[in-house]
Parts: sequence; structure tokens; C-alpha cells
Amino acid sequence: MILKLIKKGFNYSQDGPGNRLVYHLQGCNMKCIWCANPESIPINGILMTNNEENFEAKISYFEMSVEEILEEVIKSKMLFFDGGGVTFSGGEPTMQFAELKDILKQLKKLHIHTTIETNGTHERLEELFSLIDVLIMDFKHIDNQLHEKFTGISNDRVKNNIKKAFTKHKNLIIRTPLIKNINDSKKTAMEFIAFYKENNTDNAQYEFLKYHEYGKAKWKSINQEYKIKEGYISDETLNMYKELFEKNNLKIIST
Amino acid sequence: MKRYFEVKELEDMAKKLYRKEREIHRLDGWFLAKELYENSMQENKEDVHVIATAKALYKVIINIPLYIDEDNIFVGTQRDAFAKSYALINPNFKISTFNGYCDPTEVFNDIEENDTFTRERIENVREKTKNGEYVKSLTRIYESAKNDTQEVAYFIEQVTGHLIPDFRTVIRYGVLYMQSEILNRINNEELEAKKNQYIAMHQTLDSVLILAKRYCKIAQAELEKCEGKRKQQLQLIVKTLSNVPVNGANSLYEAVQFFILLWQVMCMEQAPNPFAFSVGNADRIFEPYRKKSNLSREYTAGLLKHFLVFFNVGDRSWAISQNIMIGGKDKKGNDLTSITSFAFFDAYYAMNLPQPILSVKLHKNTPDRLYQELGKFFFTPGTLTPSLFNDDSMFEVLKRHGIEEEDLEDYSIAGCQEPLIMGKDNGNTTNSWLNLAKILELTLNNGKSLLTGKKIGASYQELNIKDEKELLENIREVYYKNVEIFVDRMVEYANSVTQVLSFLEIPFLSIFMGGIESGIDIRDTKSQGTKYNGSGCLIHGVSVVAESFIAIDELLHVRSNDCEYLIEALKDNFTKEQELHQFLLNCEKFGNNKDKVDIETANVAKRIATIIRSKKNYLGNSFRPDFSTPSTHLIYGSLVGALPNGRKGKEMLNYGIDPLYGEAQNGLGFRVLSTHKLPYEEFNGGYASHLGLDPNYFKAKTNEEKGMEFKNKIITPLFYSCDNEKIAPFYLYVNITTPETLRKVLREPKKYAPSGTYIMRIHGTFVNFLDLSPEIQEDIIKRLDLESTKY
Repeated sequence: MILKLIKKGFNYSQDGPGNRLVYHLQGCNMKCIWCANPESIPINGILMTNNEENFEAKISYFEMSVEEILEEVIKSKMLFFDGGGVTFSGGEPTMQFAELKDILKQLKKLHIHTTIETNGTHERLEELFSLIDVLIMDFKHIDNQLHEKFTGISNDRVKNNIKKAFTKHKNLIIRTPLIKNINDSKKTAMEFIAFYKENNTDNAQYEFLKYHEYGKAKWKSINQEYKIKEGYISDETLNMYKELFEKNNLKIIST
Repeated sequence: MKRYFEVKELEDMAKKLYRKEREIHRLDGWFLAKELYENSMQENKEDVHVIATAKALYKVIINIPLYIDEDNIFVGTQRDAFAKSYALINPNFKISTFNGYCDPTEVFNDIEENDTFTRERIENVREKTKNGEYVKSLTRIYESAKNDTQEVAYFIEQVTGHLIPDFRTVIRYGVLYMQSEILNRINNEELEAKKNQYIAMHQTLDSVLILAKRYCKIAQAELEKCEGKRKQQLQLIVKTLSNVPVNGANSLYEAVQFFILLWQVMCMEQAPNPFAFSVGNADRIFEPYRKKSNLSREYTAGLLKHFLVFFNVGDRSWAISQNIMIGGKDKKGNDLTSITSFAFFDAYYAMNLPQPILSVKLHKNTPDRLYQELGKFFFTPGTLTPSLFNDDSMFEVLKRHGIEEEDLEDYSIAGCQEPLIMGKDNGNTTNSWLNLAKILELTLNNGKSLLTGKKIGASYQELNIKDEKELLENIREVYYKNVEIFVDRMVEYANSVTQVLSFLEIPFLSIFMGGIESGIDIRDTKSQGTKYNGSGCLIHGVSVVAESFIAIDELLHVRSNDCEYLIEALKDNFTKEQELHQFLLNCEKFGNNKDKVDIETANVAKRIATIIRSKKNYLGNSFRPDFSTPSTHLIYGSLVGALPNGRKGKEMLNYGIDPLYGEAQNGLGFRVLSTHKLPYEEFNGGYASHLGLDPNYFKAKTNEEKGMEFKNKIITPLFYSCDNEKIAPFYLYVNITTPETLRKVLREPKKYAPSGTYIMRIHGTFVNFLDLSPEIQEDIIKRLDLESTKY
């Protein structure tokens, strides 16, 4: 089985606990206008150029077989300190579902800590729950219309999967990127809270990611327009979100 | 103390002193010293040489002009030991001007003639120096080695400086105590040579006493002229100098003053240009006195700011690679961080000077607080950053190479990263320099240089090789055979230059290197004056050679018919054979966690280390392999033709043990995994390694949090996450910035470096980025190589 990846590398504590080897998989079913890895969106990859003067194009992904990834992971084990392990991110890792499931199974056999970062849309996501030690799910907007406007698809399945995860996964982190004029209002925060409170949220933790523009240059490299003009939010907005969640006994984390 | 200086005032005075130092454009002291030395040696030529040497030092110290600046809180300077120019810290330096020759009289070109220093006067001293046995012998040796050194198959040099004296005893008990110890030895010594050595040592200690007396007199004269607080301060100086260096120090202030006077005499003894003397474990030297004085961290930092300024010389601050070490553990594993350690950090951060170099020792139990406090250095642009040592690993390496348990905690760094035991180890560290890449070029090209066509090494015939194909099929065997041939010649010449250096005894420094116990001069090449001794060999081009072997294997394996084109392609610098070039570039490169090439690199390192260690120096001790390339990866690279790994002719070699710029492309974690595979237990002479890191890689808000993030993202993976059976890496320096930032600084220095100082790390030292030559600036920018450390 072959996986398409846009990048891989180590990171500490930002994509799951401890020091982790993170694989970013090609392909995503959303098209978030703030995406930091826009080259990861098309499932079959895209040509990227480095700059206009010195035109040089390369395809956005490279391939690795499940076996190659496993071998690499085993050779990297000494770097999984502080509870670290392997994270699959994206793109959207579940776009390569069969391959992902296979590799997660094998990692579990090897007792390697696993995490995935998913947008929560895959209809069979639940099948992976037992193979994942920490499940990180993005929930980008509570309002379905706005969700569709900014990501390209409805949030119905996201909600559904979050509900399942609330009851069936022991270690769930729900992440929301906070972006000015998109989801930074108190009203939106309260709506998120209302949704979460309908469920048993004991196993879940919540994290807010402040808007950043690390991926802005990449939009240019794939010849597409970066549409957000002013997305940065203030510390006050972030604190407002945090305070409201805490007031409602929702556990906030910051990694 | 506080009645003499306020904390704030200490900093203001230190900053003013530094500014004034940067305004000094002429350095003439070394010339005066040399002139006084030559005259004195002439006057006392009937004396035993070592005694004449001690007399000459005394003459220099008693005659050299001295002054006390109104902002000095300590008296003393090392300015008079150093000449003005130095290749790297000289905006006019060009790599192409390197001529593979070491002319000991070249330094006389440094001095600009004027009414005082007339051409005739300069030439007179130059002639005297030139006609001395020392220079004449050196010239002969360099002449003999020229064929090998001109394009640097290897290089040799006589090593001055590069030692770590142990001043702890003398600072504690005073010079009179040391002299009485020496006197006892004189009385009980039967061997004439040792007796003379002791007499000379005794006399050189008089030099420190007279230096203090002279400063005391100046201070007394000055205080007559002034009023108020400065008068009180000068009174303190007078009072202090009437106690130290005669007696032991009773306070931190006295201890620092004592240290400075010793340092001044030590440098003058080897003027001009004793590179890379080091202070040693500075926080441990001074902490007992801080405690005794009951000084706060803040006040201690105030005094240490002046201590740091002392190490800066002239307009480019350049007494290069004088190293101060902080932190670390003792032999039982206890952490040795103290209030003085943090006071040193404060002093360094507030002053941000280009000298002296800061090195920090780490180990698994280093308190988090130390990492937090380091954050401000790493994450403030343009600020000095320490190089980092891993005690856990270093202790093990040194132990395996004969350092006794009790001495391990006293290892320290002389120069860039060479570990030596403070006061006990003469490592002769930069004695020889080996260019593995050049030897590979010569092996491949029938002994001839690809760049000049000159015959330098053994031909195929001399190496018993029939043709190119046989060579490529047996490349490792033939190459190592050729390395042995060059190394044997290198060792012979390296030992010869050290033997010549033994003409110039250094009785003063010998006192603090075990000389009182041994009665032997540290430069003696027939009897060993220090507990440990070895000679250094700096090894260049490990990974490019390993990659070349792998590329040759691939070529033989995949397209054996093209083998015959390889040498032609190298000769032609890949101009015609572009497709072959691409094939070679696509072969595995070190630093990407690819086993084949990583293990080959480890094998090359191990094999070369074994060859080097098997060679004996003038005392029969082993050479020490040191895998560091202090900007010589550029200079030597410019003298090496194209290589089978695809590197083009004249391009840089890989730096230290790092991957060649641009070849590690999978990011930091994979680069670290490759790095882990190297045989660190073999690197007892030290090694160099650098990571350029993008500041955006660190997300925490405060510098303290970023310091912890640095620990978690960089230090723990590199130093503490190796397989248990393996020795982990023990050295690292970093630059946390981007090429864009540095280019901005160069374009608009007034905007981005308003103080005129923008500190960057370059190999074992840090430097004012703005003082460097463009080629060296470009090297720093290029080698940030953020692709190799990205997430």
C-alpha cells in the first residue's frame, strides 16, 4: 500500500503529546480559505512553483509505502520522548483511509503512540477510534451555512463524528482555529458551547488556534489567491473564548 | 562594595569602556613587547635560555606603557599581546589569498608605520625575529611541506595559546605562597635543567608583582588628581593591589582583579597573538569568592561585566576564541550551576560583546531554570548565543581516552570546542589539519590536482593500481592507503614545528599547567610537563568523502559502463557530463536518515579517527582526532576540485560533522537521527556541529518558555535521546534566524544594529557579524540551511 505525503518531520507537543514524527498526507475534502497547507488539498496533488524569476515546478507530494513508513518509525523510536509517537495529519489523513487504517493497526501492534489530526468528516472515522491514542478533531464552525461557505462542505458529519467520539474515544481534543470575522464572536462561542453541552464531554479537551499566516506564500506557489485580508484575532477574543468555555466546565488546553 | 559602585554605574562604566576599546584602531603594544623581548634576549644571551626568557618577560612587563581609564574598576589589559588583523574578523579577508604557508614574521605587516614606529624600527625587529633560530627552523619545515600544504592536502602549525591555565591555587593563596613553593623545589632539585626551569618560573611571578605595583602607582597618582567617588574607587584599587596578587584573594572583587593580572602576563609571555586561551569553568572559579563576599546576583553581574569587557581588544574586539564555561556537573553527577553562573548570564546578556565566548555545559539533570534563562540569548536577534556541551556524553568520551575520573569535571574548552582538562592538559590542539576531500581528489586523479594539474600525491602506479576502473572498484582501500601516506608526512612536519616551538619556553604559563609538580616547561618536547598531552588534528570533509564512496558504488552498480567518464567529468567540473552529474547528485546524501550513507559517514569518521590516533606526537602520545573546520571548510573547499558526490570544484566542504549545505532536506528530526549514528566515542579531540533554526519553529510566548521549548525540541532529541548503547552527541552551536533577516541587517546596519554590534555564531566563537569579510558573512547565511532543520 502506498501513501501520498506532502511532508513529514518531527515536532514537539504541538501535534499530540511529546516528541512526534508527523506525517502530512495529501488530499483534503475541505477547502478552508485560511489553510496553511493548500498544496495538500487536491487528492492527486498539485504543481508548485518556487518563484516567478526562477521557474521550477514540483509536484506537491511524494510517496511512501506502509512498510517504508513503519521502518522509518521503528528507526525513529528513540526520539519519541515525553510520551511521543506518530501523528498523521494533512491534508486530511482519512482521505487515504485504507492505508491509514492499515498503518495505524501495525503501529498499535508495535505499541507506538498514535494520533491523528482530522477534520472529522469521514463516515467511517469511528473504525479508527480503537487504533488512535489521541484523537484530534477540528471543528471549524458551528453554523452550518458559514461552515459550508468557508470550508466548502457541511458540518453535519463533523458534528456526528464528534458526538460519537464523545462517547467512544477516551482522549479527544477538539480544535477550533479562531479567525477574525469568521468565528470570533461571542455568539458563535456560545453556540459551540451549547452543542458540546448537549453531550457528555468528560473525555474531551478543547484547544483554540489563533489565526496565523504561515501558509500564505504557499497559495501563491500553487497560483491561487489567498482570500483572507485580515484574519488575526486579539488576545481578548481568545481569552473571551477560553473564559466562556471554562465557565461551562469545558477543559481548555494549549499545546 | 556598594559604597564604591552602584549596580547601574557598573554597567554604564563597562559599556563606556567597551565603546572606548572599539575606538582603538592601532595596536602597537605587541610590537613594543617584541622589541623589548628581542633586546633583552640579546642582553642576556649568556644566560640559560629559559632564564633569559623569564628576564625578557620581566623587562616587557616593567617597560610596557600602562594606564588606568576613568571607567576602569579593574586594572589590566590584554591589548598589548595582540596584533590588529585576523583573517576572519577582517572585512578585507579573501579566501583566495590563503597561500598554505605560515610565516611567523607576517605579523609585522600589521603595524602601520608612523613617526614613532618608523619603517626602519619595524624592519629592525622583523629582521631580528627572522634571523632567530625559531623562525629559521620553521621556514625550513614549511618549505619542505610546501608541496602538500599549498593546496592543503594537510596543513600544520605551531600552536601558541590554546590552553586553559588553572589559576585557582594562586588566586587562593597568592603569588608569595607560589614563590615559596617554587623556592622549596629549587632547593630540593638536583637536576640542573629543572632547577633552571624553577628559577625562571619564580622570576616570571615577579612579573605579576611588578605589574600590580606599577598599576598601584598609577592609581595613586590618579587619585591625587581627582575628587569624590572616583577618588574612593581609586583608593579601592590601591587597597586591592596591595593585597593581590601578593596574597590570596579575600573577595570576588579581589579574585577578579587577581585573575586579570595573571591573564595579562600570560598573554604577554606569548605575544603576539596567543589565540584561544580559555578561562575554564568560570562560575566555579569565582563562586566561592562571591559567597565569601555575600554578593547578590545583580552585583556580581555588575563586576563580571567589567571582567567580560577586559577580553575585548581594539576596534574589532578580537582576542579570538577565549572561552568561558558555565554550568555542568561534578564527577558524582551533582549539578554545579550557581548564583555566579546566572550572574555571568546577566553580564553577558546586558553587554552583548563579541568576546569572550560563552559555552554552557548541560547534562540530564541540568535544572530547567538554566534552559529558561538561556532563552533570552537564543531568541533575541543579534544577541550572542552560547555553544552547548553535553557533560553526560563528554565524560564518557574523555574517560575512554585516558582521563582519570577525578579530572573529568575539570574539562573545559580551549578555543572553539576542543576539550582539555583545565591546568593539566596540553592538547597542542590545532597542530595539524587534514583535508580528506583533497586526498580523495588526488587519489582519483592519479596524484594530480584537478585545479592546477600539479603532482602532489601518489600516482596510480605508486598505489599499485592498474587503471581507473580498478581504482573505483577498490576506492576505499586505495583511499585509506593514500590517507596513511599523507598523514605520515603531516605528522612528521607537525611534530617538527612543535619541536621548534620548544625553543621558546613559557615558564609563567607552565606554573599553572602542572609545572610546579613537574619542573618541566609545557613546551618541552622531550619530557612531559603536563599530566595529559596530545596533538590535535582537525579533520575536514568527512561526509563529502563518504557520499562520494556511495556515489561511486551506485555508479558501479547501476551504470558500470559510465565509470570511465567519472574522472573526466570531475576534471571538467561536470560541465559536459550534466546527466552524470545529476545522477551523482541524486545518490543518497548524509543527514536524511538514510542508513547506507549515514553508516558510510560513520565508518569514514571512525577509520580516519583510528588512523589519526595511531600516530604519535613528539612525546609519544597519540594525536587526537578533532572533526572541526573553523571556516576552513570554505578555504580548503576552495582548493578542492569536483568530487563524485556531485559537489563542484572550489565549493565549500561540509562543515565539521554536518551534512554539506543543501544536502539534508528532510528536516531536523531526520538530521538528528543521522547525526546519532556517528561514533562520538572516537571524537576525543572534539568536533563541530551547527544548526541554523527558523525562529518560527518556536511558538512559546516568553523567552523563558522558548528556552524550555529549545530544550524539548533541540537539546533532548540531540543530547539525551540516543540509544543507550551509543555515546550521544556532545557539542552544538546554533543560530536562530533567517537568511532574510541577516540580509536586512547587512543592507541597513544602522536600522537593525544601531549599536554597531550584531552578534552571530561562527564555529566555536561568536563574532560581530558586521566585522566579518563578505565571504564569511555569506557562509553564515548559507549554512543556516533551514531546509535541513525545518519541521
